[in-house]
Amino acid sequence: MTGGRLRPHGLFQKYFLVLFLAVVIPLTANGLSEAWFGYRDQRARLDQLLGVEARSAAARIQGFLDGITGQLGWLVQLPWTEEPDERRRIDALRLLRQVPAIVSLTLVDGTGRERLYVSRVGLNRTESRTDRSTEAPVTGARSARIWYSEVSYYRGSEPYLTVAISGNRPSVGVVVAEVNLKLIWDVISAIRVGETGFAFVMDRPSRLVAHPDISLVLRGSDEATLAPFQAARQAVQSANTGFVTSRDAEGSHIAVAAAPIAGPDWTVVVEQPLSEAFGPIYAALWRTAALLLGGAAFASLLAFALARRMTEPIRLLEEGTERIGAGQFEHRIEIRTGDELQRLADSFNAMVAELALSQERQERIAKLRRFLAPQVAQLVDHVGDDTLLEGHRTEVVVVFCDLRGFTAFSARATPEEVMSVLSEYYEALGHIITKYAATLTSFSGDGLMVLVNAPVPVAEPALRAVDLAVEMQRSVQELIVDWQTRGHRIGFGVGLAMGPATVGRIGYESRFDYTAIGSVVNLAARLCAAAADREILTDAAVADVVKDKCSLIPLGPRAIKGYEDELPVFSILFESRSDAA
Amino acid sequence: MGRSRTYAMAICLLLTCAAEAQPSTKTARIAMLCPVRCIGAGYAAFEDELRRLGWVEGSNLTVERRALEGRYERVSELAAEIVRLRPDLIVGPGAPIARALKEATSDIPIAFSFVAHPVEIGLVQSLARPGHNVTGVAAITPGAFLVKQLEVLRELLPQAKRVAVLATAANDDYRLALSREVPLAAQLGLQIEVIEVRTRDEVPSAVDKAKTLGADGVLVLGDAILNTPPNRMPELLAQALLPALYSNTEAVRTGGLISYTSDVVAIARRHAHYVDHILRGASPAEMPVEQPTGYILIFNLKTAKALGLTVPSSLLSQADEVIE
Repeated sequence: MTGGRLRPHGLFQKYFLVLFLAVVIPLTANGLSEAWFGYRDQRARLDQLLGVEARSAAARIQGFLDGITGQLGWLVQLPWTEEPDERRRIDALRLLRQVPAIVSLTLVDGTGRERLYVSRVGLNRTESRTDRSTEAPVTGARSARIWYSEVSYYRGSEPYLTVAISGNRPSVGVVVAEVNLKLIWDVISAIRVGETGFAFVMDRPSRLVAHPDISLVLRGSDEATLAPFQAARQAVQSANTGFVTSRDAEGSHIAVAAAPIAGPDWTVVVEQPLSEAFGPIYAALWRTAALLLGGAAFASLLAFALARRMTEPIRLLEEGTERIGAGQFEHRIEIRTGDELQRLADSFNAMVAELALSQERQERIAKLRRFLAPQVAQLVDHVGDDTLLEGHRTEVVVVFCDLRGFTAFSARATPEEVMSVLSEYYEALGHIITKYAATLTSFSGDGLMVLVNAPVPVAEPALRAVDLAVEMQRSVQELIVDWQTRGHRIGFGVGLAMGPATVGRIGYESRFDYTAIGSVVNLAARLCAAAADREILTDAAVADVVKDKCSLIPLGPRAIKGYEDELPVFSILFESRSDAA
Repeated sequence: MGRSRTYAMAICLLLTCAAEAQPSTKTARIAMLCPVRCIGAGYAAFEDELRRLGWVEGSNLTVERRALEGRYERVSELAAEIVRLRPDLIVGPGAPIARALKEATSDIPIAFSFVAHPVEIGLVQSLARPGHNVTGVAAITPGAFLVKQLEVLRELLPQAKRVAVLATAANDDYRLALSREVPLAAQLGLQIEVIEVRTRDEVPSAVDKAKTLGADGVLVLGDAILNTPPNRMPELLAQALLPALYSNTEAVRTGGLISYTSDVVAIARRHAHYVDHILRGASPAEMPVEQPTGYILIFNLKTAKALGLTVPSSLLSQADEVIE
């Protein structure tokens, strides 16, 4: 787990992603499904709408033709006689006036002979009796009652249709009318599909019969003009169901539907620009897209806020642990989320408080260890306060010891030898001081000072001090034997005295020492100075206490430096280990 | 974001619609060459239709009018003058004018009207696809309309044997029609006397000539010289007691006897649509020539009565308008 592989904000990203997706995925799914179903509905609606428009347009065109055939019907109700029929001529002329689309009328009698021809622009004929019984309009009308011709383009431009109708019996004959289809324009131009959609009519060979733009019709069977209309019709006929999409002359997409006009076998095609036909669905799609975008933005905000809310305490915890790790035990992690994370932070804070206490204690112990025996230091620490170390007056036994002839030795010997001797010496004494739970107050060079009964009082301090001194002598004497074999002339003397002294810490900041101040210290030092090799000198106070337990030799009163009167001095006898052996 | 975009689109759409609805952003300049004067029912209908299509003279449309005053010999001169004006489009009513304009320019669009045979007189390649800078509305379905008019006249005057046809020599349409259709008149049992009228001043002498020739009736063809007031044609014919069929409804309203012709007002209105389309960028070469669909038969019974004529009911039943 190195910092390089760990993403700094991995958790935030994960939370953010999960929360964001949790909102956006259902939203998108909903939006997409709505758009899809909306599209299908709109298609179905359009299908219906265009279908209805196409059928209604077809019905209107059929209505135009029916209007004409209906009028023509009046001319084939009465049977012909051999006489010229003036009344029928007037009827025909009136019909021309009545129906502007009819350009000319031909009336044929029951035997198929032309009896009358009236025209708007050509010469009328009466009783020409030309045999027309084999001509297509006459035979067609006779077999099917109503007969429609193919559309013809007069001089390649204006569309004309021939309609023939027979009566309910052969003797009433047939009427053949030439119809100018340009007049369908009134009908076709009135048909609107939606806003801009329109209808147009094509005949069986796919030529334009009617279109709101009359000039397209007047171009006759011009291939280039007809191509897009033929393509649209082709598309809708081959699809066979509902509407299809195609392209108009400008290349724009259009929705196309068609309906047949049964009589003349024409097809009405309605077209609407796809952009308009799908207008509502495009609007819905835009709306959905906008909603999705808005939703995504909202989701990202929400996810950001939530992820932040979740990871912020974790970040605080992380930062806190880092600072605590760096030793800032006063740092507290402030999390007020009222949940598990707050509990975690609280327990973390408690742990840090404990840690701080423990650290403080460790430091204190480390300090005490410098001059207290480990068990004493532990004890002081266990008590939990160091009032023990504060200055007070108490009865102590002060033990001084140093090496005889060390100065001369150190001047002669190599530094390595000096250090080797000193380390052996201190190692031996250190063990003993620890063993007797004495307090090492100071050492310098070869001498050292040890307190007994301070800072922790012990039972029988004098005896313990004597035992301590004896053991020191024994140990060092053993060393001395060794040193002598190495050619060093070194001795060891001990002095001890008991009496009241002021004990406590002295020093500054972290350089503290524990020491005793009082005449007893001086006395012990003097006694130590006075002691010869293998000698332990003590004062009367100690001797008085231990006289029953140790063998003492009273050396009588001696003048001690710094003291006006002579003081009784005792030497403590001891057996060296080599002696005992 | 989505909404503001929708608004922007709506505004764009509105602006586009507004721009499409207002051709006034651009001022069009058209020129018009009239055979006599630029007045009459046809011109009024033409201008009215242009206004309905959004072209208002004086605001977004300038019309340069030149009138021949019936002097066809000046047609090339005035056509050249009009072409020098470099208008966006030239309106040319009548065959002589349309032809002169076509000869004067091959790039300025020309919208003709009241031409019966645009293909035959070389104005367009075909009705479906004119092919050049000339298109327009044909006045009469090419066929036998002249003889049809004679048929109507004969139905009114069953005893008539001799009919005078007043025609303008400069009009190719009539030259064509006369050469094709006068022989057909024999089927009706009529003898035709063609009397050419070159200027408006020749109208009284033409009427005199018809009378002198012993015509039972007169057919006045549609040329503007013969039909535009104040040429007193109906008055002169009434004085000469000559029943006449006109190719102009207006003549009947001012005292003429009968008129059978294509619907001039409808043609003029369609003509305005051609002008509109071309001004909006359509190519005349691609615009098929339209033919008329409506024909109007109109009687003046007052005149008939003055001439001592009885109008047969078969004719009356076909009439679109009867003036009593």
